[in-house]
Amino acid sequence: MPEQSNDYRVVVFGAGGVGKSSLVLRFVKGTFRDTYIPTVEDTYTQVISCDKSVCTLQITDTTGSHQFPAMQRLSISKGHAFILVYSITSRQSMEELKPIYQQILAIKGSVDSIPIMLVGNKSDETAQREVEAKEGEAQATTWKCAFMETSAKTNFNVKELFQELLALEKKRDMSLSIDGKRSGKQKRTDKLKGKCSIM
Amino acid sequence: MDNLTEALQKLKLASGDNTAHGVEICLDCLLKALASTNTEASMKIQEMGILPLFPNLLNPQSSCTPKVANIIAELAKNEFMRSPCVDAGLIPPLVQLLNSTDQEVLLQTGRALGNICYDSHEGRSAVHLAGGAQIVAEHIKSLYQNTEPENEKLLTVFCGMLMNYSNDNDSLQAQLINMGVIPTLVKLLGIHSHNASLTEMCLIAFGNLAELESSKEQFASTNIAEELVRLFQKQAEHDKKEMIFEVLAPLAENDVIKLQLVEAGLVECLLDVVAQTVDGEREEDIAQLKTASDLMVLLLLGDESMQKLFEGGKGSVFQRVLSWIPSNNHQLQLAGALAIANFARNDGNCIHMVDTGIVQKLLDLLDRHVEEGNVTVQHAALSALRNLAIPVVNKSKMLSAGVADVVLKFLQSEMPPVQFKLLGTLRMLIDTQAEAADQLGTNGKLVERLVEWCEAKDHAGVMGESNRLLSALIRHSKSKEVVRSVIQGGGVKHLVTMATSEHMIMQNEALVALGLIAALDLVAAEKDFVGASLVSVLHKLLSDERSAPEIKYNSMILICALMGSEPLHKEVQSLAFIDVVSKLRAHENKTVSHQASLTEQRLTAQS
Repeated sequence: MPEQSNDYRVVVFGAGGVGKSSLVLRFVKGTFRDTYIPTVEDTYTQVISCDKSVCTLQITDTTGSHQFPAMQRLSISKGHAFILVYSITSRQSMEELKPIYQQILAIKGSVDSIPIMLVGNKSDETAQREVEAKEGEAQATTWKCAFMETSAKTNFNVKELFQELLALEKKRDMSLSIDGKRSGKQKRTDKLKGKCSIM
Repeated sequence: MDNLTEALQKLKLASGDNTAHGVEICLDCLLKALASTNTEASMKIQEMGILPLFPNLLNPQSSCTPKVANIIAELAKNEFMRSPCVDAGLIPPLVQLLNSTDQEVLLQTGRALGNICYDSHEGRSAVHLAGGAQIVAEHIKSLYQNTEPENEKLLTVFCGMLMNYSNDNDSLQAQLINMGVIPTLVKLLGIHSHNASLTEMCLIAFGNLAELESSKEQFASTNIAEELVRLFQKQAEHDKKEMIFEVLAPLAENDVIKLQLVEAGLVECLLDVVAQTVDGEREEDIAQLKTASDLMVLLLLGDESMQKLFEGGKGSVFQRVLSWIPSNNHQLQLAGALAIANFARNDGNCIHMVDTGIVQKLLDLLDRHVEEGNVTVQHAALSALRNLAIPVVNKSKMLSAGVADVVLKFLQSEMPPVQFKLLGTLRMLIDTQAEAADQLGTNGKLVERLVEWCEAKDHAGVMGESNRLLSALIRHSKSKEVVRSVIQGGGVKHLVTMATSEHMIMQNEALVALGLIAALDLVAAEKDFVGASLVSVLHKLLSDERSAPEIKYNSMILICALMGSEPLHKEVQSLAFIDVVSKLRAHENKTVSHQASLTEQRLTAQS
């Protein structure tokens, strides 16, 4: 089945073993129904689309053997948002993200309107920590992206990660350039909601 | 730039003097500079420390006042100037100027205040403190009927100012709503719909305010539905239509407004948009298709609006929506399935739809989404089937049509929303259908998956429904083979856990199923009953005063059934059930008290 053109594509990059799949799985399972109230048989329910809890999450290993360069370029060019995952227990895994970031920058042109999140996973493994939170923050500042530490294992900050990512997307849609002129793209994605006007 | 510097220096010197003519020339120079290079000029003006001079110049009597306000408006286009404007004490005099009767003063003051408030917490606080919003709201109320171009310009600025003032701030928006701006703005829209800028500003206002729950009731008591539909019908451009859609969506969450929109003819507009955009490949066509069809579904969420559109199943809207399901367009498939799911919310509609062949259409749709299918479509179609399976007369028809087999194709799905609806559909289908319950209950793969999902602590919905289906398979089949199948699959311990649920419905369904297991195959179930501490669970249920009568009754039935097993019999004795049961002889419910006597006799006889 061809994928829908209005899918929101979040591309998750990271070295093997940093916990990308666990993070994604945690999020996908976790956003669905915290509580269940049973009702008797003859209860009709209103039905709304479940697409708010489902966005297309594409996981991509950064280790060369798993990904052809052309495919990686394609993933990046089609992606709407990016999550760059390293493990706090592996400095190497953070290093591996640098060329990825550069590629995103190169292909997208600028990262101003692209939600990117740098994620230090496995925050529960304090004894094996190699990368301090400060370093992650510093890297994120350099890259002008957001930063978070998570643990897929303990479900720490997982929901917040995706919520933040989606919030970044909305925030960017609303910005208006100083001279009042809007680029074609921005005009199309400008939402009426929460809009101010320069007069 | 030199001219600007000169003018600024002169201004600094002259303002003490306040000779109107000299000052005015300087102000003109500032305006000119701002018009040509706003940011640079603003920086210069800021550097020269001119702002603190402005409060004095914002004199209601002076003829320069509009120009000063204009300058402030231009400065405040820059984010870095807004806080300085507030700090320089400009807000109170500006708010004072709102009491003026001079059109130009009002216009420029409105602009200035609006721009200062743009995305500025300080600006908004200051205006709030000075009571600016109230005055502007009053102006709008008294001016909205005047259609002169100058007045429309003023109204546009005032609306914009209120929006910038309240944007992103719930309490300020609530304040505006309490001031009664909504009815005024709706009337305004009706009167000035020929004016593009003012109309756009109104729509922005509605979009912001409509997000608040408190606003929707107020909107419902105006004729906003009519106005918006009328406006929509006049639009040709995508951008304008999109704007109206943006306002319709939050408003349509209110059921009263849903009905008003249906009565105002919105649905016909939406169907037109769908027909025009379905084959489009441009991004805007795709976006509009989604918006229009999503809105259609939203309208169907309300009971009254839905029933109106159903028109006994013969209505054109229903027929059109039906035609979306076999479409090649995913968005339309999704909207069609969701629409059907929402039409399927009472017995009459469901029975009619099944009689007229909806089931095959939905099955065909699902079959197209088994391999690498679209999760949202799967979920929507399964939801529709679940609702359709509720009326008793529909169940056998749907089973004959092969619904269960198609539903089972999604057993391997990893998506909780799909799993949840799959479970619900099967559970609805087997109610009163013993043969189907038997067939499904002896399906090893199904039972295996159910047992797996009974442990899905991450999603309570799937876990709950899975437990209930397991119980339902036993209860509706009353079959020894099904009991065997569940025991073999490891389901017994989950049913025992289910009996400890906080929900009475779950407890009861579990107890009845366990009772059947005990009655039909106690020997095979014995080990699992012991392992899961069933007897302790029953003791707790009987001892708890808050347990419902059904729970007490079914627990006692089960205890009696368990007496046929030696190890379980011993457990019962060791927990002194007789004491608990004898107390229940005095229970107010006759069925319970009667069963308590019988049970007591049984326990005594076998002690």
